[in-house]
Amino acid sequence: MNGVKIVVTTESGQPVQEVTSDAKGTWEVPVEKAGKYKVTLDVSTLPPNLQVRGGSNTRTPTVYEGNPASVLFALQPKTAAGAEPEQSGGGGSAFWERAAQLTFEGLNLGLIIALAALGLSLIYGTTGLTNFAHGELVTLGALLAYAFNTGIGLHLIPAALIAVILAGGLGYAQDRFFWGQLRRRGTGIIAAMIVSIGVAIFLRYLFLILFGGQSEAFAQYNAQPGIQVGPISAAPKNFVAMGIELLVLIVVGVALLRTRTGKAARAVADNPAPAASSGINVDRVIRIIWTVGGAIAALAGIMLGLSQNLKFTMGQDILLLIFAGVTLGGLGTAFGALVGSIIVGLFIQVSTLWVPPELKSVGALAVLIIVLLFRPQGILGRRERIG
Amino acid sequence: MDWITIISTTVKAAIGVETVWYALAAIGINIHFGYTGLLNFGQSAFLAVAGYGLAVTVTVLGLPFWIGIGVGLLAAVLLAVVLGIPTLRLRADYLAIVTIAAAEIVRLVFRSVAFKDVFGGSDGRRGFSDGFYALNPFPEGEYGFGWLLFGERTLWVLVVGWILVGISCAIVFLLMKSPWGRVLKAIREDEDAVRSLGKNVFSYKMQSLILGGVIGCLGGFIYGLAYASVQPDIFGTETTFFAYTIVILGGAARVFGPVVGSAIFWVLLVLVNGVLSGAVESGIITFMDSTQVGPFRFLLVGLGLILLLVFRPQGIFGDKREIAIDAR
Repeated sequence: MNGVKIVVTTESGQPVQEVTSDAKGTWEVPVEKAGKYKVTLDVSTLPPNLQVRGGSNTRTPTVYEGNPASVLFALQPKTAAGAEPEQSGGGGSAFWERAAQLTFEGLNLGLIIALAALGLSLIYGTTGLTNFAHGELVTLGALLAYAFNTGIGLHLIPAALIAVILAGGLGYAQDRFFWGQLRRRGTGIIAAMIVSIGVAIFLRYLFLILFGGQSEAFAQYNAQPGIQVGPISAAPKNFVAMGIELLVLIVVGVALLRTRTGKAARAVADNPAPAASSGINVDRVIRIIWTVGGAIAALAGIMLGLSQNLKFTMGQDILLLIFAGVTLGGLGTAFGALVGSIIVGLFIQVSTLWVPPELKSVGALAVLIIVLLFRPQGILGRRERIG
Repeated sequence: MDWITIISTTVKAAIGVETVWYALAAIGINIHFGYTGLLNFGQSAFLAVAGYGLAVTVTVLGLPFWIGIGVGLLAAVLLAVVLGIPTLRLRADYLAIVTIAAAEIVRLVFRSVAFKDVFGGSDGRRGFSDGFYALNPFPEGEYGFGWLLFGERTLWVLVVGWILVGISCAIVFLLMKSPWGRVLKAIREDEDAVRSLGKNVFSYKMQSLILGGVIGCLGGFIYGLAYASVQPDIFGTETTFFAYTIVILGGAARVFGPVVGSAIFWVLLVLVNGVLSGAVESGIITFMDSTQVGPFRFLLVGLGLILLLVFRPQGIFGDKREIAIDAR
C-alpha cells in the first residue's frame, strides 16, 4: 500500500522516525539500539475502504542487535459493521514463504562462512595449525576495503579488489615471516594454537585502535531497495554477492582438482611426508595456501560487511561458525569445509523459524558438539584416530 | 604525571580483586592444561555458571546466600561432567574447539532475551551479595596505610579471595605430590602408556576437569560478589584466553605459577594503563588519544602471549620439560 504513514517510537514513547510506505508498500526504519519499539500505523492515511486486520494499528516488535525486525500490517476491505471479519487461511503459505526467505539468507551466510572455512581447513590440513586468528583475517579484509572505500574514496568494487589482493599478500607475508619461521623452529601444534590466540588478540585490538568500536557501512550499496524473486525478497547486492561467492568457490574448487598446485595442496593436506618425498615443495604449497586463504578470507569479510555491518569483532563473531563448518565437513578436507559451512549457514538461519534469533548460533554450536560426538571425522572426513 | 596514583593503583592491582579471580580461574586451567594436558578453552563457562548459579538462586528464587554458593558449585560440577563426556576422548585441537563452543553457548543463553526473566539478558543480575557482606567482620572504615587503602567491603572480598587462592594452591600442591597427581602428569606425557598400565584415563581426565572447573568457578563467585553483579559478557572467550596468558606467563605445571602470573599480568596492565593515560593527558604521547590506551594494553597482551610462547614457553617459573605444548 503506497503512501501510508508509519510512526516509530521507542517503548517509552520517544519518537524515532516517521516514514511513508513506498509503491510496494514497504518501509524501513533504521534504529540505533536493540530493544522494544512501538510502531504505529496512521489509520487516517489509509484509503477509506480499508482497515487493519485485527483492529489494532500498533505493533511492538523487539529488535535484536544486527537483525532487522519485520512489522506487518495486514489490510483488509472494511466490512459492514457487525459482520465477522473473515479469517485468512494463509498461515501455512506464510510459513513456507518465511522458510524460503530464511533458506536464501542461510545460503548467503553459508557461502560467506565457506569462503573463510576453505582457507582455515587447508591451513589446518597442511600445517596442523588450528588458527584462532582466522576470524581476524576476515575482519582485516573488510576493514581494508573500508579504508580504501571511505578513506581514499574509491568505489567499493576496486576497493574490494585491492583489499583482497593486499590481504593475499599479507597472508603470504604472515607465513613467510611468522608461521613459516615457527615451523622451522619446531613449534608444536598446541603451542602454535596458543600463539594464534595471541595473534588474534593482537590484531583484534589493533583493529579497535585503528577503526574504533562503532559499526560502519561501506559507502556504496548500503541501502538498496529489495526486489522480489518468487517468495524471496532481498537487495540486489545480496544476489550479486552470492554469485561472486559461488564463482570464487567454484574457481578454487576446480583449481584444487585440476591444477598441479591444487593437486599438490591436496596431497600435502593429506599427508605432508609422502608428499614431500614425491617431490612436492611443501613449503611453497603452504605459502600458496596461506596467500589464497588470506585472500578469500578477506573476500568473506567484505561480503559479510556488505550484508551486515563492519565492526572490529565481526570476524571473531563468526570464527566459531567457521570452526563449526570446518569440523562438520571434516577438519583438513577442502570440500568438506564447503559442504559443512553451507549446512551451518542454512541451519542457523532456518532454525530461526523456531528459536529466537539471538539463540540461532547456539544451535549451530550444539550441532558442532553433537557431530564430534557421533562422527568426529565430519561428513567427508576419513576415519582416523582423533581420541 | 601523577606518579603517586599510578604507583598506588599498580600496587593495589597486585593484590586486587581482578588478580584474585583471574588467579582462581588460572589455577583451574593449570590443573587442566598444565598438569593433565587438557586444552580446555571453556574455562569462562565455569565462572559463568557459578556466578549465575549464585545470582539466580538468591535474586530469582529468593533463597539464602549459602544455598546459592552450593548451587553454583553444583552447576560447575555438572558442567564439567556434561562437557567432559563427549569431549575428553577427543584430540587436543578438537577438545579446544568444543570447549570454546560450549562456553559460547553458555554465554549466549545467559544473555538471550528469551531467558531474560531468569538470567537478566545482557544486563545480567545484581543484588545478590548482601548475604556475603552481612558476614563481613570488618567494621565500616578504611583499612591500610598511607595511600594503600581499602574499604571494608573490598577488604572482606580480598581476604576471602586470597584464602580461597591459598586453599586452592595447597590442594594442588598436595594432590600433585600424590599418586593421583602423578597419574595426571603421566597422562599429559603419554596417555597410551598410562592406559597400558591399566589406568582409566577417561576417569582421571574427568576428575581433573571437575577439580579445575570447581576451583576456577570460585573466581566466578569472587567476581560476582566483589562487583555485586554478573554480566554475561564478562565471561566471554577473552577471559579464558587471558587466564591462559596468565598460566603461561607464571609457568604452567607450577603450584604458584598462576598466582604469580595473575599478579604480574594485572600489575603490568594497570601500570601500562596508568603511564600511558598520564602521558597522553600531559601531552607527551600525541599519536594516541585516551580512548585508545585501553585497547593498546590488550594489544600488548596479545604480543606478549606470542613472544612468551615463541621464546619462553615455560614462563617465569616453569620447567620446559613439563609443558604439554609439543604433544601430538
